[in-house]
Amino acid sequence: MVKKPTLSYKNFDAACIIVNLLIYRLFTRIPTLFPKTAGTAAALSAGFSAILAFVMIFLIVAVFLRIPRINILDVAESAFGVLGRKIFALLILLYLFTSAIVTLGEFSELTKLISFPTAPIAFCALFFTIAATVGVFGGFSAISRLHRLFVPATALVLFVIVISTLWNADFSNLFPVLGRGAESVFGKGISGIIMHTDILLLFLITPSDKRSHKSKNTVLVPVLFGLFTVVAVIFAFTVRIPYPVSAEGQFPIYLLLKEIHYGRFFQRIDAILLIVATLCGMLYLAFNLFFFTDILKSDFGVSDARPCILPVALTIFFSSAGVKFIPAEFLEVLLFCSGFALWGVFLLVILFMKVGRKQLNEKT
Amino acid sequence: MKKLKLVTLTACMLLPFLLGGCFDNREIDETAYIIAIGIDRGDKSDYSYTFQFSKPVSGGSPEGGESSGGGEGQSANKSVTNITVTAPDFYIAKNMTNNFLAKNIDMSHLKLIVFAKDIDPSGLSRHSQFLLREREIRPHTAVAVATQTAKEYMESVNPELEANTAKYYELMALRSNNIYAPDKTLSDFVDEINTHGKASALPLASVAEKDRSQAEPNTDKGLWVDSESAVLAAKQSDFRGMAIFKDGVMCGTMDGDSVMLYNILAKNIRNTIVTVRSPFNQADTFSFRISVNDPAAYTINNSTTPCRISVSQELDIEFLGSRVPAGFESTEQLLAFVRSIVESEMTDFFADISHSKQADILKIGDHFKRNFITQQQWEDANWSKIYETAEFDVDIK
Repeated sequence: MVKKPTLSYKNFDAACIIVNLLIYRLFTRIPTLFPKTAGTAAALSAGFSAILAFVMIFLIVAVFLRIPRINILDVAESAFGVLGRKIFALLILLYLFTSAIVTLGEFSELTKLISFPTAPIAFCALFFTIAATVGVFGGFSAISRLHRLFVPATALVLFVIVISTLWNADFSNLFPVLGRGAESVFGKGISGIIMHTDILLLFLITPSDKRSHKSKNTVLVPVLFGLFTVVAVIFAFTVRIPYPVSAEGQFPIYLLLKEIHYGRFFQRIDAILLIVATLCGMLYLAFNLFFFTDILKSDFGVSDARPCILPVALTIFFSSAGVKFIPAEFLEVLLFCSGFALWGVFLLVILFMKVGRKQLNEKT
Repeated sequence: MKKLKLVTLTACMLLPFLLGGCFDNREIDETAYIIAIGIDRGDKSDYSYTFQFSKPVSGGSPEGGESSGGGEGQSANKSVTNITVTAPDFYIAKNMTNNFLAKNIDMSHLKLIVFAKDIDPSGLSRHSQFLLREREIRPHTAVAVATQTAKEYMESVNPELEANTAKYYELMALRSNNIYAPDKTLSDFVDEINTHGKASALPLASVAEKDRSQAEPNTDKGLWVDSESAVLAAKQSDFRGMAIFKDGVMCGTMDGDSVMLYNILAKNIRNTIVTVRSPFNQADTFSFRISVNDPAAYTINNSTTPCRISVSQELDIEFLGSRVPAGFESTEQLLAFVRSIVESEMTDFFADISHSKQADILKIGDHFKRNFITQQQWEDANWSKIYETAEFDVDIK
């Protein structure tokens, strides 16, 4: 019997994991998607995506937590059988791999931009790869405990950035209120769900709590907090950096950071951001790598996950380094498709409500 | 397993040593800090870049410092060195300077960027954009336009009562109570020139004796006592007047008095003192303190042609005298008279920026923009066209 990574959803660690999964993409260039598609209505589009994500997460959690001690792969198995589970596991592996190489590349670039301008990007990526590898060797409980330590600090820094930038914000940047039109805000805005897709990693953890259905609120509160943080940062970005400058494709958090000015007293918040951003990225990558190897172990016949860790980490490292050789359009399409992973999980849960629940109830 | 743990632990312990800076280490005594950059038009398509470096050793004693050697720019200010390079591109100029200097160039203490008045619009937009994106440069770096050449301005800077030239720039350009010059940071300037239809105003940096009256003076001042006749006795450079930009193109300059009105309307200053002549005897002048509580409020009536814009400005006006001047019956009458003078000056100012300069530097369009749902509707409304022909009704409360 394969031992599953378990965690009580009532635990503070679980809350920190949820928040990190939702906010870490703020340190990448993905949030520029909102001004690119919605123009001056970027904050509105981000709010719409957050509401959509919350509804989906709410429904997934409502169904998922009714039956104790199952993860999303068990749901896939009960809905589509063993083959369905394998296919679903393969899709999740693909998502984890894509997300890992994109995340590694983005965080390495941000680190290079802030602190290592002349260092090769592989040097920055190396730190993240080593940290993720060491984290996975430490095990799931070590990774979740580290979340408890660093995620509150990250959230605090993000709120300091938001408050500091709102101080001199120009709220006329929010007008015209529908920016590039309702279709762009609400139609193309659906693609903004990509910001929150990583929450599906949460459902790879098996809830250890027997009465896990009572944990629904303890999942939804951090989800709300994470989504609120994302919208708050994008709101601050929209009111501080006017469109079309905001759609230029720079790191939004870095542009926002440079706007912070406390006179001679404090000018360089870069150092603090560097620490929290790298920790946030390292935690996510460790989490990602852990589940990558765990799925290999639980679903693809690998008897021991540990020997896989280093080869997988190195593959991600070299793939990330090779990203510049892959056409940008291809990567964008890949990222866009992977953004719909949450939709996939959502549809799976809906199907599960009809087909699988009865079978699983009989089994358990 | 124990061996693996030991290896992992050792690797983790070695990691912090890598972070210590084998890459990107920077020795402070091997670094040359640029505190100001001047960008002039060069020959053909080239630009002439003047880099002003701080000489920290001489920073505390401007009188006793070394001579300003090392470059062609001979400045009276002994705490800086100016080096001018003509090159087709900024980075080529910077690299050329790096070849010339033994120290590594660093721009993290850059305080001022000065553009020449005649620099081409694409060059201005391009330079300000990449300088903003430059990692070492802070977005709060001040930007100005030189009335002659940027090089001349930078060579003329010789701060009084301030040994540190970098601090002088910071205080001069970005302090909160600049009466006769607007303050503008690099990030605000880039945002403004890159947003369609938006206008921007930069301070005019001038060499006092040479450049006075370079800005277009408002000649018909009536009873308003203007500041343009004031001349600094010292041969000093100063910030007075403003250059107006629309869509990245410079469309004119304005004098110090117009800037004061601009600063009042935008609430860039909290208070100022104005002097007016007596309508009964023009040799008599009296002064008033004007306190600005809020920026001006605008009501736009687009149903008429031309569009009418009502400007409402709340000001606290205080007479700086012990008794009511001859010819006036009461303080209220005197204050009403001053209010009418300020109203008339502001009406002229609005006529100038809208009809002549056609640049919405007070961002009145941002108030109008709120009436539109989509960007397409806003662009179709063509605010620039409406603004160019608008009539202004100024009401001082």
